[in-house]
Amino acid sequence: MSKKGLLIVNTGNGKGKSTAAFGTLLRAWGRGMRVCVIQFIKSETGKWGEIKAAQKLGIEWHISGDGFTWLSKDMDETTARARKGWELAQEKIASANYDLIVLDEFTYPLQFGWIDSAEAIHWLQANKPADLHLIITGRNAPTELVEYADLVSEMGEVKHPYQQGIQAQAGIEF
Amino acid sequence: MKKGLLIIYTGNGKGKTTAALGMMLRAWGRGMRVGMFQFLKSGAADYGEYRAAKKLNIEIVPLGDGCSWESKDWDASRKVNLQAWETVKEKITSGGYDVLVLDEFTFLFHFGWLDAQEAAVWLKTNKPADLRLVITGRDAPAELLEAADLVTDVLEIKHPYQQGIQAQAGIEF
Repeated sequence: MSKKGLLIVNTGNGKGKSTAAFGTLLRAWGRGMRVCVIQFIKSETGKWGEIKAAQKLGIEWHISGDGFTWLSKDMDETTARARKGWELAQEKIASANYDLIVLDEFTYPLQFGWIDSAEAIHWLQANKPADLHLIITGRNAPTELVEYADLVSEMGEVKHPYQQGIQAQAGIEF
Repeated sequence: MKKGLLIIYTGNGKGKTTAALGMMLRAWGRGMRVGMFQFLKSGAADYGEYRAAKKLNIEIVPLGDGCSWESKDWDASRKVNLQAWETVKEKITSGGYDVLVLDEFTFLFHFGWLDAQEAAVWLKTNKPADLRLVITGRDAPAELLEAADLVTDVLEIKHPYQQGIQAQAGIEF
């Protein structure tokens, strides 16, 4: 059995993709590993529980999105932000200064074609340090990404409180 | 309309306990009172979450006697885990938490140590209305799924063991 920096993908329509990534982040942070998060899609104006936690813990956290895409009015702005986020991610990944990097909601820019997924994977194959763990979250992970990944979990939605008219809960879902 | 959800992470894929940990981190970030009580796990293993819990000063408490599929003494394992359930019941009714995680709780049903209907009824009757309760583990029984508000089935699509890569400290444990 060998060791290597894993490429992990948390995908699927159910809850728990970002949440599991943050759990892994907590675990790695607990071991004194060097960690960093780059969030695509999500806006810096959101008051997310994970960001409050990261601030308390001194975890490096970047937000590149401008809110949920289906609310976006200016797609050029949304696209530009995603690309800028990917540039930042490339810089962090290639720096070899981290043990774990989370690219949260990164599948969306790939899915929507704002970032070319074949190019992104090619870049990762060429530039991801061998011992860096990289976690990518989001629905509809492209096939090429799943093929390239070492560990892929699909979060399947079995039951969701929205179906019962219960609103999203602070500290639980965000 | 707000309520303390009963949340279940089940399925064979990676990410059930990890998602619960992420949820704890989120809630902790908001100053909520969080705790995880683990069935099966004995605490002998060096998990990254124990180290993180110490640094954060939150409770992640192993109440089991090690992985029970390796247990030689099933009767002893059964007693330890049922005792753990009694401990956890007290934690649930204590009112001392906003978020409680019962990690690997489903195994008690899987091994037939605890009746799922009985546990579901107990939870419905005794769980404080504003307590968020998270249950993790494979093969969550139907009675528990029925009682839950949010259920995620974590499917294994691809696993590094298949490629001969060992579990990684800080990532998988």
